[in-house]
Amino acid sequence: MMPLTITLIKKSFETFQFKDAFCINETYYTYSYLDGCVAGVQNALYTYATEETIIGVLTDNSIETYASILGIWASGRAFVPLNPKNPKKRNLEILDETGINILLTRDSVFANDLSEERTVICTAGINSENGIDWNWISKSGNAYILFTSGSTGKPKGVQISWENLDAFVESYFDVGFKLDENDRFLQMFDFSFDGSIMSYLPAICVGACSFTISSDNIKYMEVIQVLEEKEITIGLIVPSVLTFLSPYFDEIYLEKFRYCIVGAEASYNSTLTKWMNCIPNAEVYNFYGPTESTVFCLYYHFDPACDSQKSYNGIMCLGHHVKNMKVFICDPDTSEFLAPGLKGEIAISGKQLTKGYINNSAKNKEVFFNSYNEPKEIVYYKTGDEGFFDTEGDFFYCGRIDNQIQIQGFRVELNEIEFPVRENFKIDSLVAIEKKDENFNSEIYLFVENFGGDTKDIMSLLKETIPAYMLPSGIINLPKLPLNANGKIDRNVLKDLVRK
Amino acid sequence: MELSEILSELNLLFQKLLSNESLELKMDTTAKDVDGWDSLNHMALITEIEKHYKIRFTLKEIMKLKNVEDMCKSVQSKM
Repeated sequence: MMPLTITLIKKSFETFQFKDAFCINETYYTYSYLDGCVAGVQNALYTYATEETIIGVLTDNSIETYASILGIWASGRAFVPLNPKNPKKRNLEILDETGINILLTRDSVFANDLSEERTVICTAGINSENGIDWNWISKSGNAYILFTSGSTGKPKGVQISWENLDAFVESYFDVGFKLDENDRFLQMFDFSFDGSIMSYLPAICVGACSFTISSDNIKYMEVIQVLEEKEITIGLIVPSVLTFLSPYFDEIYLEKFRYCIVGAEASYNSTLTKWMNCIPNAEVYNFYGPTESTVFCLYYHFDPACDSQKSYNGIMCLGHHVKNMKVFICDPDTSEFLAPGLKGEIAISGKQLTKGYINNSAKNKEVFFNSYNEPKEIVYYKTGDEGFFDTEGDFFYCGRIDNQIQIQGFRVELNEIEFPVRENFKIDSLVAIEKKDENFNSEIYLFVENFGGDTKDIMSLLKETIPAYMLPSGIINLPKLPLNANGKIDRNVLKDLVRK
Repeated sequence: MELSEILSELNLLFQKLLSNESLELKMDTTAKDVDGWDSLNHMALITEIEKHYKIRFTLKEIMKLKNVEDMCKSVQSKM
């Protein structure tokens, strides 16, 4: 049987041939044009990827990238996005982990370092007049695998199956958005972040147009420009965009904006309340969920006119669970479920929950657990987020239980920054810490103890190892790192230090 | 003030803010040519320029700044 997601995509391609599907760098592409590109990708896959179930896509802001994803999907395969700007080492790790042999890329230069023993299919201008072959074979298997920051220095591959993606699409439309082919969607995200899926996939499902943002320019500036000039009606925005724009709120007036979704980072009620003056006709929603939950598992409708707008420490309420997910609070150590009002770790289960990380049984054992409290055995995932829920079933976010932080929507394990430095320079005592400025923007600082060399060498190493958004804003060499009463590095003292 | 003078002053501001002493801005330099010139640093740079020249940019003006030359000209027009 054809997955729901593919059924909806197929219907849009058949119904809205002459409507625009994407606007990329000021060029509009119709569904009919995209159909040809997708069919071209499909043809190439049928020729070169007879046995392959997972295909790599070197992504950029181009119609070829979207056509590649859709062509892979329309051929019953899973895609793995690789950002050509990421360090080669990281992309090779992802390719090895997934066993990818076929790479799709618009520009063969992107594949230069990665092509050894792999087939590279260049998609520039790819086209076929035959049209997309919608003969779906099976619903089992994955739709995509996204790699997120891992604490051992190696990224973890979250596998999202077709069942997961279908459940997400169902939950998304169950939120109650009234969308049609005339809506104009904002797509501001990198493909390695699942906010991108939520930005372009629902657009295609209703036959609407996605307006994409290039990462080459000053990205947040381009976001506001596209919101204004393209009269965007619905968009997922990370709260950092809003804090970035807040000094200029009095110059912004987006009459056509109908649904403003915030997510991927903690959202602050104070910023959102001010932002609402810029979007007089929009409803604001806060979406919460790790990649493991297929984009989101909780949502909150924020209404500043309503007295009961909820928050914790100024952070907007996460609301209640989406249609296909259940959310609980559990004890981080015993995994026992906790009652309303008690703080613990946010645990999730349901049809959108990943079956696990690819080739990583150790991590799977750590974060997934089974509960026998239900009529049948159910798998839960511990998110690492601390939270609680109130008697009305609304959830609140309190912070992280581990060393993970969010930067510009990306999850970053601070250990992943420390790991390569520790390995290469044989420094035992070092720590990466997060600094939040007055606008709640995060920056990373790396402290090293008694390092004999030049800290520029550390920065050069990191540039070759981790993506740009993870790079520390500063590396500080101290003769001795401060310790707390337990003999651990005192992060709080260091946080005070960078604050000054 | 000449554009070239503004350019060399902006160069100093950029060097300081991006902690990159060897940075050499040219008129056609854009954000993608410079490591660390991202959205957040862009706003910090604008704020520094505003403080240095005691001027204020509107959002519309900031949106039009596509390269260093645009920045220099915009500063010049406000002096």
